[in-house]
Amino acid sequence: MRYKQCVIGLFCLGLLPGQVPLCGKARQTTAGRHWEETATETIWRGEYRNCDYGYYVLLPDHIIGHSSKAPNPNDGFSVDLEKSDSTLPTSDKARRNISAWNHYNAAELPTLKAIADNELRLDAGSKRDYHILSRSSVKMATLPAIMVKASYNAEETTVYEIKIIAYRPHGTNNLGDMVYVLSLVTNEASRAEDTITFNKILAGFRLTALPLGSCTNDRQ
Amino acid sequence: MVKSLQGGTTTVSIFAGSSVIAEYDNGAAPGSPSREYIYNPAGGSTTGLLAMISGGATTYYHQDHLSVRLTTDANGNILSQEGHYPFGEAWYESGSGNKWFFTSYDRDSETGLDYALARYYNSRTGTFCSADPLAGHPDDPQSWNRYPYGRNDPIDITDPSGQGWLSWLLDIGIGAAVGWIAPEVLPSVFAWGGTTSTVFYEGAQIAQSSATFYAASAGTAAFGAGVGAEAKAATQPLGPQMPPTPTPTPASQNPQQTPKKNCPPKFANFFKQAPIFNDLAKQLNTKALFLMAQSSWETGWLGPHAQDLHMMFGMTNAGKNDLSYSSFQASANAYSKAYSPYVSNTSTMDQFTAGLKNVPPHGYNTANSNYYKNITDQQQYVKQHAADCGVTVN
Repeated sequence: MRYKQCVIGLFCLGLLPGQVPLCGKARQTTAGRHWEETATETIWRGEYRNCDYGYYVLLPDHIIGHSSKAPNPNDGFSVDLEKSDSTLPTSDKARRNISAWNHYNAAELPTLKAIADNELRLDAGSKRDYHILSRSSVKMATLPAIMVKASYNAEETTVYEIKIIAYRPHGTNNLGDMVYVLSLVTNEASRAEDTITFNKILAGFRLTALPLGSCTNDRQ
Repeated sequence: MVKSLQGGTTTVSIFAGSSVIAEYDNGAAPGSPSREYIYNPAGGSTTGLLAMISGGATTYYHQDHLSVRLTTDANGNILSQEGHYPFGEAWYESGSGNKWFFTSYDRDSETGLDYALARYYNSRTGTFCSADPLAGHPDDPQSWNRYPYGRNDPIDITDPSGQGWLSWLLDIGIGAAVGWIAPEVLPSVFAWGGTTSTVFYEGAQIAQSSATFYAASAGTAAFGAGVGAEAKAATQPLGPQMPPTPTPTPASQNPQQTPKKNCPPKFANFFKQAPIFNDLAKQLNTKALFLMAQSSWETGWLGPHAQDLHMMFGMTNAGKNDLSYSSFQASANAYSKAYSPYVSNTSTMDQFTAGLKNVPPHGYNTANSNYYKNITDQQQYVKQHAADCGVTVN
């Protein structure tokens, strides 16, 4: 009985090999394309999907995700929080934004802590007056993750940042270790409001089985 | 594993990390090594050699903080005594020869050179015979010279692997002090102090460049033992500045190159494509190293998924799923077609990443704010694994 419950649970979470999630929020979406290529980028409605890296992110109704246009890599997406429902191209310097990205653990760092330290080292090296406000262990979907809250200065304003860094070691089919990062960049005035949106997107982060061969980002 | 031929004897040496643990002469059976070596795990490869068992006889090694000074048999009889000048030139030597003459290096009886794993060392000149496979750090001018032994401080610094003086940290675990300098507790301690990021950065910086740290941390070996891997993680990302380099050269064309002693299949598969990277670099008039750094980051060292798709750079199709090609060459051709206007004629990584940032509308990667720093850092891992795999990417 427990075995059956476990299988059903995995089925709902979309974690069975080769399976696309059918239960929960994902089931509320309709089949077909949820992305659109504009002249300069790819925009995502309802969800951002990355079959190659084995995850998708449910997007709240008023949120449009933006990513680079093919053939640039699909390494994540961004939301411009100052015009979150706009399909116009995002500014690469949007002061308030949410971004999610993925990469292989190509530096072969041995632990989640080492991966997070490396990420923070790069942040600290490029951001003025960078301060870490807190650092804690959290979960991103089912993955262990480290959440870092930090502040820094940009153009004479204080920027607040939340970064959640998750590590998916030894993926299914031995596809390699993967790293997922979800970040919020905001300011003092919008911090509370943007954090709510950020938490919604965090709650929509889902893992899927990693692909064998080609895969599609269309809804099944 | 390293195979050597000296005086008609072929010896196969088996390594664990940077320490030889067994040697087989002239095809000795796997279960009957000609010599077995025993180490003190807390001592690292420089001072950790305790004993050798050969033909049923045990030889014990007695060392100072640099090298073996005395060997004895099981009854305490002295077998050999030896000493050397600071850079390893022989000062005195008596008794049966001990090939572990200078630090942990195996001295070649025919050439007099010391085998330092990643390269050979010449004690007569006090320099390595080839450049350090690990690059220096831009903030540490002395590290820019990649030939000296131990930053020209052979009394205080050892270099067990021939890959930069820092490598000793990894072997004896003192490097964990570096991991200790930048652990999770520090951010909370310094959260509002205004220096958290500096602490993170300088924590690694100290390990990279300060000999003072080196001496001071010697007493912390026990504290850090066993977590050297964390130190590796904390220190490796520094030092990404690579000199311009074009073409990987097979080890067989470079007699000073380390044999393929530690090249897992993952990296072997990646470097199999070196000719394609070289051709692409020539075509774009850029460096193969830059392309390899970007490719290894985007594809997980051409991991299984990339192998399935023959995908070298993570390029996508409409709908943002990865493209699939008939061959890696086809993938390289597609990259060239799409990105030639942006990465061509680049001789530094800064120029290369600047070109990628110019890919419309907002660059090659629009989500990861650290992407260009990531691939810049990735150069050092490419070089490190290339050296392990017998491929030179300078």
